[in-house]
Amino acid sequence: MRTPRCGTAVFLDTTIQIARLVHSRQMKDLIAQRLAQYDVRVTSSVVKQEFKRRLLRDAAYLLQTLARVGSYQGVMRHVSDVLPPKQNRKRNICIQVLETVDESDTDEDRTDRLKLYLRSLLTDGINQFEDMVDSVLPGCGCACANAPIREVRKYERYEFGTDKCSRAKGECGVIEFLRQNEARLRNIVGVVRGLSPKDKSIELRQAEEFIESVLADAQCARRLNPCSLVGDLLIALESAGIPVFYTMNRAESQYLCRALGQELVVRPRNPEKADEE
Amino acid sequence: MTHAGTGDAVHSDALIYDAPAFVPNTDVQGDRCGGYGVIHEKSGGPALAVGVPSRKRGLAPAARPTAAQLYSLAASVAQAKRDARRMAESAGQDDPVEVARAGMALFDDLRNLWKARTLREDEWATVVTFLQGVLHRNHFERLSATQCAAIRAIVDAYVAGGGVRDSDIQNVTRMLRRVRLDPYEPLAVAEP
Repeated sequence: MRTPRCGTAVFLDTTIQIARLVHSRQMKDLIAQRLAQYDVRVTSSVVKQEFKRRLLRDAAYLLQTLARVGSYQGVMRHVSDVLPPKQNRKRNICIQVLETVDESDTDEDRTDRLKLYLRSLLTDGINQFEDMVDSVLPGCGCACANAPIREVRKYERYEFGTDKCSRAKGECGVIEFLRQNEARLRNIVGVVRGLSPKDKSIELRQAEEFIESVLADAQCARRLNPCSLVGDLLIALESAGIPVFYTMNRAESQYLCRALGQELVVRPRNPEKADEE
Repeated sequence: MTHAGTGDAVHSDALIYDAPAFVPNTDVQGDRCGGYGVIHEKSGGPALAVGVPSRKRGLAPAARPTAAQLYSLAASVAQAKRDARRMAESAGQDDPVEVARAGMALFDDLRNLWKARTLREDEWATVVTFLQGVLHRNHFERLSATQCAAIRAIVDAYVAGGGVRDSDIQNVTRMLRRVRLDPYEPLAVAEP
């Protein structure tokens, strides 16, 4: 393992933060090896918002389903019958907790374990998220990210607050943040406009339209719900001061990093493969 | 059955408790009765609610623990403390075989504690399942002295300690992560 380069920092995006918590040990070890090369690990408020929206909402969904269905096997059946194939994360969380704690477990044991794991993920997940890095950059001061997860009824009902900036009650600094980053927005839109249609993903198209709207009138930003609509763009802007961007999602990040002059490191989803720099 | 004086309907238990010759059980006597499935409320006093898990949303239907169950729980906790200490001491002496023996014994103790989870609060059961997950996913022989010390500290402070709260779970996850043990490893998602 290489020793840390003094004064080097790496930015961790949502895919990496989720992988550090719930992916396989092999994947976690590979990420840890990569992170050991840097002496500061940072992430940002919109990453936190996405972490809540992607991982913790899934956990709440599973817990509610468990409360309704009543057994681990029932949830397994329900999840694999009802959810579309792209919802693999929920399905896999169910499958894995069953097989790894104790071989002598009955369905009741597995049900109880799943309940406890999911609840502690919900109540402690944000602390875990913050503990895993050296700093969470305030960035655009996403009000949705800062809304706490409230346990309304144990094991059954959890409130996350809104994920729409337009409805957020807290102080959201997105308009001011976008104004401050106008030059970077122009760089990004310049790179995105130059892409061929086949390279331009839906997310990049949305980012392009959003930037054009914001450059015309920054006040409209909050109404467009940027942290849920163009999360990748906001995360890229929040990470702009950090020289290295670490992600599992190459599609958008390669162009955003190019526009912002960052080094991109991609962790492939296949743990047999090495990081791509 | 009716009251001799008033003619009102009277519950049979009330007749027993109101009888002048009735001497209520002490708590200890009541616990002993509980162990034999005696249905009368022990001591005739109000039910003790402290420490009984929620019937509605807890892990399992709440039933008043019997003396036998409580004794068994206390014995398993004491055994877990001993085995955790043995594991930590063996790791300190760099004896991986003894660490593994103590670790396997501790895993058995935790299995017994998990079976008794409905006797304690859900947060306590969370700590037990975290420890089981960590021990199951690691080779005992490869656990370091600091990892064993952390496991011992958790057993002493939370498994064998008083009531466990949500904030204690945060402490436990931090303690485990600090020594490179992953409490959420059983939630590991398979790569697509």
